[in-house]
Amino acid sequence: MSGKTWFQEFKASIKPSLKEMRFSMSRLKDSPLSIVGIVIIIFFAIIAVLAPVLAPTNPSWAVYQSFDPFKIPRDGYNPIPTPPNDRHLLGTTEYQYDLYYGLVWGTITAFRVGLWVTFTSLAIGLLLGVLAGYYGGVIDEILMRFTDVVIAFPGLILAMALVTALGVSLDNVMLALVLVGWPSYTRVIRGEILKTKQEVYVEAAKAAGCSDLRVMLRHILPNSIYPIIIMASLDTGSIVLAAAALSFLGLGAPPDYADWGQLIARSRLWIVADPRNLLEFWHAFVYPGLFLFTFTLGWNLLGDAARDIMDPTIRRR
Amino acid sequence: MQEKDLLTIKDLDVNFYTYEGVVEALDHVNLSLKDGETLGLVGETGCGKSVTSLSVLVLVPSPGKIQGGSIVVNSPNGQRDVLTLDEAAMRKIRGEEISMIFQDPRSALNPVYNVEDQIGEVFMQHRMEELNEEALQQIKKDLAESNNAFKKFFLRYQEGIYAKAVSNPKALSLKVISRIPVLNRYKNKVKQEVRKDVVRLLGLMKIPDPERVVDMFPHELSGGMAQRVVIAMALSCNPGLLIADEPTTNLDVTIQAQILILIRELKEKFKSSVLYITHDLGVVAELCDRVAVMYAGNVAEIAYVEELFKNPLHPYTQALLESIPRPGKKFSSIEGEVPSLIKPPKGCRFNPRCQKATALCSTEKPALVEVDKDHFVMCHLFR
Repeated sequence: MSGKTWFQEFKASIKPSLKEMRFSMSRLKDSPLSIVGIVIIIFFAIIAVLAPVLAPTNPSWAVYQSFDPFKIPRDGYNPIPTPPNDRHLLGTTEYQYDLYYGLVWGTITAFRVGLWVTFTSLAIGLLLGVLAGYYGGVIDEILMRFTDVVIAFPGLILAMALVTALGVSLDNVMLALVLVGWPSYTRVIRGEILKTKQEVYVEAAKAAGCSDLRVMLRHILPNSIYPIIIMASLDTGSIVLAAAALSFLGLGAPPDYADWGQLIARSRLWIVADPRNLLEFWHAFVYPGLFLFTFTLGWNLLGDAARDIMDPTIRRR
Repeated sequence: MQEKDLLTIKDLDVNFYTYEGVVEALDHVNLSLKDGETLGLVGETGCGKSVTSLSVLVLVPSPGKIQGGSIVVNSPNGQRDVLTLDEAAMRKIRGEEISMIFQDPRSALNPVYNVEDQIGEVFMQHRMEELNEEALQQIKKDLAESNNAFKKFFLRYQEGIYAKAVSNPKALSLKVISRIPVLNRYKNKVKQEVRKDVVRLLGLMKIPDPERVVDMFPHELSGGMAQRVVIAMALSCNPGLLIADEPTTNLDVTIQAQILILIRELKEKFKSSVLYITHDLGVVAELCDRVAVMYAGNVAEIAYVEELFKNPLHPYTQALLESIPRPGKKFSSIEGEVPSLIKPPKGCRFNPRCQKATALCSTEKPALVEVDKDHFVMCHLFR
């Protein structure tokens, strides 16, 4: 060992994890659809990161410049959308809000809503599910009955009611989606933990002298967490859809905020504006719809990839 | 039952409280295990073999409760009744003084960890102090040999941490550092030591190419290999008592023989005693010094193996030995069924199936009496 330099030693120490990573990559290559999903999400991530470069915040045509980059700049006050032209790459929507700017900066909003809501509901669901599954008895009963009560409400309606009660804003939409979203995670993780608790290796770990906490964190949780990670990945897309739906109903972001749901809401009058020429204002609804559709599709495909790569029980089959 | 017996189970009662009623799984079980011997525990399915072994570890599954009795364990650390110990003290005993080999090796290994992590965990549970010491020695050796300033700096840092870990393993600063991503790389040193120990242990289990096997996951192992890994886990801390719960049941016959030979050799090497649970009388004859025959939650007969096979006294043991299939002999079985333990038969629990039952058998429970030297029987025929 003394003959090696510290760098060689470091290389040797990370070798197993590198090997695992290469294996993950080879798993990934086997399912082309997951690659599509990952490419889509990476594409959107790049758009989100490069938003200030792709869509500069102070275009020359803006009639009013806000300090908040998430406020979509507008080019006049005409209610009729303009088709794509030199000044507006994807045209403008109702009241001359720039579609390109709104979609690019809306990507950040989509990621923020999707990831924040998913992670927070996952954390709450995980915590309550683990408590219920591991301790059982009265704690389980109380937590699960409360979960049942929340699940009994139709999700979107409850979210609408909560947003109305809390006040209309994007932050409250996110909060409402978390309050509606956590119970499904709690249920699944509790079931998984109850299942894993029966396994012989859990008993073997106890017989080897592991403490309760260690058995829980090292033996039960890693074997039961994968279904909800996959669920979370699949949910990220639909949460963005739900947030867009609330925005569409006027319960989400303020009217000039860069949010896909908002842009879709703005285009709804123009889908059949002129019955003789249905596609006259196609850009107003096709572009935001395309972004939202692709983004959701990407997360759904990524969910499958996540299971193939991460779940150790099916990873090496 | 002398004082220096390694394990003494006295009047152990275990009940399971189910919806159908109270299952009296163990009814005044008396057993003792001498230091260094192999005791076979035989009986039909559901007669309480596994419950007895789990009681010794105080891990009786949920609707079950240990109602009474005592389980005294003698170890270098003193003589203790495990039923009176608290959870923390019990955790120290599990794995270190008493360990267990489970029936199905595949399901006894956690699918998300490789062999190194599985066995290493037991080391880390019970041997942390020694491991820290070893790592510290290794670092000091490296430090003396190294002449790279950069590397020396890292080694100094690790030396400081391990010195702290050896002197005060519960220090707050250690807890904090072990959670910080880059700084906690010092743990690699201890992991290297664990890896060495695991490879050495796998070598003792006669696993070919242990260097490669340590990185394998449970599903990549064959049944026999998986069972060797499970045995390695059980023996990793050199326990005084090894409980083997039908370790060869799910293996094919050639592997069975290998595992049995391995257990016998390791028992000598590690100077452990073995409580071997099985329903295979052939294995008992091969491996054990003494046998305890269990029936419906009672110990029916205890004797040395040769004595038991030559001179079975309890009618159940006789019937059991009769029912071993032999060439040229008509296949025979014991009439009747194992009784439900919710309402066990009054008196001797074997009386409904017993050919020699008398009126007394269905009214009064017989006591376990020593008929011959070291030959105990629980039957009214021998009083």
